[in-house]
Amino acid sequence: MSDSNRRWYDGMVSTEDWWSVWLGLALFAAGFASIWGWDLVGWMVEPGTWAIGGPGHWLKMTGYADWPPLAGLVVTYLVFTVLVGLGAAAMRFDLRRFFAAWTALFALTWVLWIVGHEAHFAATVNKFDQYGIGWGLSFGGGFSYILAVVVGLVLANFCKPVARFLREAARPEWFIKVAIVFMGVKIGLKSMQAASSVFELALASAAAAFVVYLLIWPVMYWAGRRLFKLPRDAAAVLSSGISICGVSAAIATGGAIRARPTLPAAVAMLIVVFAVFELLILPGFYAAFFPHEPIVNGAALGMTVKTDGADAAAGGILNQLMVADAANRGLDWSGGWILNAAIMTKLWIDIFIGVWAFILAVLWTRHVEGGAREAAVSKSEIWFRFPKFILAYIVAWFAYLAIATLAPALIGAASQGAEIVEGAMRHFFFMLTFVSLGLITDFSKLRGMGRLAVFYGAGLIVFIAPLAYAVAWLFHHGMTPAALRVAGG
Amino acid sequence: MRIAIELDYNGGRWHATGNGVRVSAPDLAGLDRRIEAALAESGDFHAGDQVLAAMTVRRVVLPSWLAQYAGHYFNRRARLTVAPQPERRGNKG
Repeated sequence: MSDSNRRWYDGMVSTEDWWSVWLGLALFAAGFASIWGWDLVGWMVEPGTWAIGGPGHWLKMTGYADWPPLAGLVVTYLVFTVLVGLGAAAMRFDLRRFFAAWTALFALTWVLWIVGHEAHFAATVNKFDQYGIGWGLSFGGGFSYILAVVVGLVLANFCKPVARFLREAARPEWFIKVAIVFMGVKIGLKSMQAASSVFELALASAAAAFVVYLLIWPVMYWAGRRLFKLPRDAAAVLSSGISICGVSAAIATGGAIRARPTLPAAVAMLIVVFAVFELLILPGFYAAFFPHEPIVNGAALGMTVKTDGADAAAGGILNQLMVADAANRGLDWSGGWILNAAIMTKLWIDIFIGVWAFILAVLWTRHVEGGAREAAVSKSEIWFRFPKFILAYIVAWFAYLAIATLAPALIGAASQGAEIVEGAMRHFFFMLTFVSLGLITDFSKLRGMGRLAVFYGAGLIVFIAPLAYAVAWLFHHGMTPAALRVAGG
Repeated sequence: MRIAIELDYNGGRWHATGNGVRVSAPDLAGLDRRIEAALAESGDFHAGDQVLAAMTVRRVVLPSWLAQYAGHYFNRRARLTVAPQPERRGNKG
């Protein structure tokens, strides 16, 4: 069987992008069944905030109240093992190694998730009395995310045999794409509550992403060629990787300019490592220095942090940090609006990748070095590069929007299943992503990158991060979660 | 005339297979020339025939850990002109 893309439906059962669609839609459908009164997702468990020697439950059911949480955890393992196992089998992974690694990854993820919810880490100041504690870091759920990335990084860099074993199942982009489909459920829920705010945020994100595209790529390409004396192909691939959307854009650009596949593969490693630096530094930096611009901060992350997984991780951490900080100041910034700003901006960037790669392919093969033999670039290239998981995100979003518009009486029933999918399940896939992201990030891979690494680091600090923040401020200035909720009614 | 070719990349070379062609070269321009020669040798084409080669690149050209980021590298279409057979070139010379 061919493993190339010839027909429009090629890859539907053999690529991780499509498998994020199938997994995401399967669980979306299970949650959506609540409109008929069926609770097909209530077996899911989630961690609760707890204190050592104090009150609170470290594990609780999301739906089936009469189940013991440990039974829910076993069912949660079985359901997700079957689902990812189907994908792994269809994608021809080594199933024996995958199941062993998946089981270990599942266990590690839950341990970190539960530990991160210990009250000294997670409880906000106004909850200290409730958990009987006198001090705490007040990170909210964000501590679990930070812990997941850090433990993954430690394993990847100091316990390499363990990391190698876990990497068989550590697929951060696959996991985050499933989580983003669940974000479609979340944004659908928000559309039921505040449709106009959701569309305002979506439009602002699209405009910001478009402006950043036009501004950053040409400048980075010019700097790569003139200041760092990079070859044309390396400058193009790196410019896309650093200025558009990380690894996916680097691969799309490598393909568009017909580069040897080894070039985007090398650049990809650089992007993954830098993305982890960004996700560890930027959320805390933005939260500390711009505490009154939550949506600007989220959108800026979407334009600065490369790879969907790292962006979601950074957005998730920022969201938790800022919500906890706002709670300490007596403000309610809950609802995931900050995370949504980070994700929406990134999704627009993802959508544009195929179009940008098509334009670049036409220009490159006609005017740079395609040679006389290259015929017109096929428009099917746009489809093959289109991130398919966004289709499932839109299906989930619009299904709930349809409920709000056409059958508002069902909003209560629809919310019941949706809240579990976009809540506990999405957080679980976020946690899987963050542990995996750490596991695949081996800093020693930076050795020998020399000029490319300096170019990337300098471009990011001097040009991209400030410009992305300025553009985010231009389009999102003044938006706060509270204001968006009120505007939406 | 249209032919389908599948491209792979390993060992620092592009490899083309399909329509009875199995050739390799370090770059795509060189690969095109080798395909033109291979078509001539196949006996199915005549020197000077214009062929549109629809080339699809196998997903495995990218390392497996990158598959989660992109399921497609590129496809290309090349207009090839079937090369003269070596003996004919000798006759002309």
